[in-house]
Amino acid sequence: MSPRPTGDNMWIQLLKHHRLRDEHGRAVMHYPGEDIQISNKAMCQKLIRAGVAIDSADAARHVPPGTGVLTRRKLSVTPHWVEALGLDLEVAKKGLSLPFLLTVIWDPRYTPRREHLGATFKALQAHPWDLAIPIKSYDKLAKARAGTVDEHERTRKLIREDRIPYYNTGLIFAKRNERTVRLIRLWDDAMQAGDDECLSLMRAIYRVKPYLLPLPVSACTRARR
Amino acid sequence: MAARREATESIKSLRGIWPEAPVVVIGENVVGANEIIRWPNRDGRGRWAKTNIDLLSPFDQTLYLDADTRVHGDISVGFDILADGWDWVTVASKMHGTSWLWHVLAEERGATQQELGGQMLTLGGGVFWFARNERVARLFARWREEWQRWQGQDQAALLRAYVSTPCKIWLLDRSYNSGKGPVIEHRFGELRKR
Repeated sequence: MSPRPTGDNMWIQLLKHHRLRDEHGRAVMHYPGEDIQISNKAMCQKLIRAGVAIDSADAARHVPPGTGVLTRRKLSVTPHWVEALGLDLEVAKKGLSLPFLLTVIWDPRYTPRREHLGATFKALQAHPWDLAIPIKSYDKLAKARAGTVDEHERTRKLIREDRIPYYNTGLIFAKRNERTVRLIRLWDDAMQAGDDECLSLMRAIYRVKPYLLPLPVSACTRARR
Repeated sequence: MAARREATESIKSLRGIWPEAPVVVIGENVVGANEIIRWPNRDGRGRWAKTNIDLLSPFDQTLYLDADTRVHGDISVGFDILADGWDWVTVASKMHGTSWLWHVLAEERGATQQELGGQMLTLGGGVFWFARNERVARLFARWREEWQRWQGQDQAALLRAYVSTPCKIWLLDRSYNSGKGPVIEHRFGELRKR
């Protein structure tokens, strides 16, 4: 797939709120994290220079060979960020796996923020991290409405303390190796058994102890419908 | 003087929770310490000392505390997590956007963002537990190299160091390092005011 859109259209991702005119001339408010296709290249460059947006294809130059996206949900359309980065896309059939050398396990309810993608791919390519995952919340895992009381207690006993930030299960960058295969298997087995997605990921991470690069909360936003 | 006073109060607060804690102070004589290790205060703020504590600490598991901290609760969990096999236990910073590395020299902040390719997650440099092993030794060596580039604040140097020198990091939340931390209170900037 081509890493850049064809024709004169450019994809950008907004870093700040911004009003743009639609094809009918109406001013429409767009939001940080939103991906927009604009035909006016000069305007795109102006927005990028002003720090209002980022070129969606910027992250493409850091994508390691053998990178692909795995999603648990079937999609009617390939997301443009996947196209812009030239990534293969697979839908998980029976549980999670790591089909690529670097698999981005992605939940379409979340949008990766482009300004972090490049830095994440760069760090993963240059250094021996196993995984990179954004934090979901800086606050206490204790506060999260996740899992049953029993599962929460079981998790707390393993990880020693639930006053911790917890990771976002919606965007996981995982290189394929013994540690990550084991981690994903532990996580998937727990979810298949009915455990909470978030708590079971924290337990899998604690058991395997991978080289995990924590990413800021801002690396991923909830997708707008 | 101010640093010594803060360190004294910090140790006093620690002893209130853990009376037998073995405490080593790097730098000056401080009341309450079991051992003082003399170290040249190259930058006047103890940051050069901080980047060398892996070489100076006599412990296999160390909790580093900035002088302007107060311990209010049980800190043994950090040591338990290290014993479970983690290398570095710390608290992440929430700062991003215009407040990312706000206290760092603009030139260093810009260079950090450019070199990393973005605003990666900053880790607290005032409260952290670390284990003695090769990975942590490499991280500290890299931190020392990075700090010497600008010789200013240590947090940006730590960020550049840890991103390029993977080790096994486990995060705790701000209960363990914040202005109102119920376990470890960090009186940020107390020493800068004086």
